Amino acid sequence: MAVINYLKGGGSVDFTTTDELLDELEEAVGEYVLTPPVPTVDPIFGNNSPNTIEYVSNLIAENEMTVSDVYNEFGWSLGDTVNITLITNEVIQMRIIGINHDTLSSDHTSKAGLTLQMVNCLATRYAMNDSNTNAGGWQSSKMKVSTMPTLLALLPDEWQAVIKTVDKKSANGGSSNYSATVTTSENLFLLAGVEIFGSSDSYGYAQDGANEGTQYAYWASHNTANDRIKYYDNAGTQTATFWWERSSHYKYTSYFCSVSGGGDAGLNSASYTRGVAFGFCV
Amino acid sequence: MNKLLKQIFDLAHQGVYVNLENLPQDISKEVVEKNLLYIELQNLLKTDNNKKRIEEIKAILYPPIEEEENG
Repeated sequence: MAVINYLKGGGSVDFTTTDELLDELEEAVGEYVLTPPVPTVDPIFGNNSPNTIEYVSNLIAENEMTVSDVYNEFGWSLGDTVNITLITNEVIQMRIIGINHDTLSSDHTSKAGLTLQMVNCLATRYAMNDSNTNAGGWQSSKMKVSTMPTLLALLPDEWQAVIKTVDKKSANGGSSNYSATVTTSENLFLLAGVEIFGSSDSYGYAQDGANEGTQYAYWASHNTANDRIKYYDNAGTQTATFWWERSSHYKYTSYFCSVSGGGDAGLNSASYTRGVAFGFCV
Repeated sequence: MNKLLKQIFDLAHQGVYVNLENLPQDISKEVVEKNLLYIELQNLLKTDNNKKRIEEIKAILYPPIEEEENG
């Protein structure tokens, strides 16, 4: 069975039909357009394929849905998770942290329906830079320029195909003074302090932190230190660890900001290897 | 990039480790090396018969974390 839209003559009529009827229709009207099948959406977020998640995410964006709209329509909530097996066989878990939060780089206006972030960190740790400097900030960091593109390539093709490029703001680093933020286009990204901790001083040591975005809805409703603790593996059996933010330290040119193993705002020398819990948009 | 990396990691899971000197420049050698070490570690932990190598890899992948929380 298939659903077709009859376009000839300017009308649009839906038919549910058999192959024989399709043939008859083609003979009668000369042309028709097959409509892609509408995916069946499972109310358990993690049971859905990347294509279905993309389909729903597009609906969320097109219809400017709220968190409660998304729950009522699809049964999905902030904090819902989906597992992804990397091509290394490492299994990571991604969590919904934002709905219509991030802006697409394609027109700098439209929203990405869903933003996901790793629940825990990758099993391997990475540095922000080879030396202890935050000069150039996130924009020029080894983490953004070299590490993230290769980590993106570790995702299965079907996930890479649905990741949207979004705008992210970050401070320039390399100065003890506050500086203007720059906007970069990202596929995989690290969160800024303000996106995790919110608009109070609690995002800690971020240079120009108040202008690096806004707090994700998930982090606004999960705002204790315990909520922010991340481990090196999804089972939570490994050590809790620092995890990097993309925020440069406001004062010391050798540091980037991080979230500590205790879930508080922290900082680390840029060349130290720390946990990576990237985010992406669909 | 994805196809090449998949081949490299598939071989690693079979215990075959390839020379990374000729990796394309747009691939982070560090990311590949660390993931190969992680795969080797997982393989060794299954048999637990080379404790020295297990400790060597752990020391590379997970050096002690220096506390830097105050600033």
